[in-house]
Amino acid sequence: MRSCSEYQELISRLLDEDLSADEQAELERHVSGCAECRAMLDAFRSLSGALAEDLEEVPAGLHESIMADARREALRRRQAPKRVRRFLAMAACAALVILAAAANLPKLQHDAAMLAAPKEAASTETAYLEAADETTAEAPAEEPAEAEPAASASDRGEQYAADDAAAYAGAVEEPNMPEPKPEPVPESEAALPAEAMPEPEPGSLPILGYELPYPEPLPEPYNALPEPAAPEPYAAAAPDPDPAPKAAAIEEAAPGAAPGAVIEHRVLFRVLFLIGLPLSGAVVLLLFLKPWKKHK
Amino acid sequence: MTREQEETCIRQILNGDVNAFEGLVTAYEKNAYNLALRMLGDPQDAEDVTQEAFLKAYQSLSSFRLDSRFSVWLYRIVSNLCLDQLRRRQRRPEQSLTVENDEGEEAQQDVPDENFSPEALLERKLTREAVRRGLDALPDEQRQILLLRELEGMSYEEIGQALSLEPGTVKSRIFRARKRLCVWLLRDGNLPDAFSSKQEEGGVAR
Repeated sequence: MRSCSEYQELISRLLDEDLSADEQAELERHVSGCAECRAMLDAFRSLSGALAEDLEEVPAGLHESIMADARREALRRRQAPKRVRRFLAMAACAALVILAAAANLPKLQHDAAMLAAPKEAASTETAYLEAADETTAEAPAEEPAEAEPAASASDRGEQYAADDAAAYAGAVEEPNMPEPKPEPVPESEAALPAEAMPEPEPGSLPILGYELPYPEPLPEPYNALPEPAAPEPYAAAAPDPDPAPKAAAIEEAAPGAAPGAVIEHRVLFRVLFLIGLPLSGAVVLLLFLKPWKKHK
Repeated sequence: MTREQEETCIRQILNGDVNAFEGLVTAYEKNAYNLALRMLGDPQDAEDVTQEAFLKAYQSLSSFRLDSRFSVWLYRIVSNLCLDQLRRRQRRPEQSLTVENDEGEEAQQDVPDENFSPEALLERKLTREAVRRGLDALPDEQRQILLLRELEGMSYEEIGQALSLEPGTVKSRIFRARKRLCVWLLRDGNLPDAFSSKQEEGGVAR
């Protein structure tokens, strides 16, 4: 036998449909003989009814506010990955532009030097060098590559090497680009300091060949730069404490040595361009078209 | 809304279809709001809590396992937010809306009377207003558990899951809450006499 207090807990559970058949039968027997517990059953029942009935209507605008919250949240979630993708796409585009510029700059400079007056050629060169500086600024780790030839510049071609390397350093942003290994020139066809000059893998050279559109050595006007008038190309990048010997070195630069270097670099950049362009293009396409994502 | 419809809805939402959420909102906003309203006693707070609860539900829907009803999960969020809100109120007592001076003081000291007479309760009219105030006078945890049971129709098992309680604790807590509410309603002045407005009962209680 249970106490009334225990039966009252059973009453609570009865309302919640938690009683077994046996418990329910026992409670019913007790309630039929106990006025207090019967009253309790009725009281709990009416209380239950009062608690559950007459629900208030939802205030006007709540439904819309809830849905607006959800839509905002959904939008925020969709945009988060989109922002990352947009950034990557921008980076890939930038890499592409830099790469294209790097591949074409030697040619452009060559053209300019061929066609323009000495002074104009000089200013073109300055602009080019400044452009190169801007690209290197993005990759400060590559600075030694630029600084070293600048210090020991003994020939015009080597300056090209420095510039090209700098321009290339800017283009290295492309993540999948194979790292070119600076190698000594095996053929040593020209009497030039080979150690500073990067060169593509020997295997890739025959494919592209040496048939270059600009086989000409550096044109005369270039060598005849009026030294005092021409802006010192490296002055802005690496302040040279003693420009005079360098100027002399530039004058010394044999016209025969420079073409070799220029040609090597043109080949190098052709290779880089041919590898880098499709790579960047593929990245841009992938990021914008998202072929991995199912379109609904 | 059946369990199957609920599941379909949730899968659509998780696949990025935010409009599918509207089905769940329509199905449960009224109960969620009324739960909050009875927990807090203030319509503006109840509205804010309901909105917050739905946003929370949307944000963490991916963590919702389909082994329980969505409503159970939602009401748990609502009632926990309500408890947070009530705790914040206690830290700033001047903002308390639950008690009026003369009745409130007494309600705080209310201790269930073992010898109360349930017959007396039945002789009085259970007005909507009196039940509201009686609910407000309950301790927050008792009000929460009683509303989850009475208003939202959650089973003991579901309540136990939602509040991390043993089934035995759930049963006895609900019983104590009911009893305490009866005792409070029987106190003088909390319920009008049944005779005065017996025929109005249906209308008032609507």
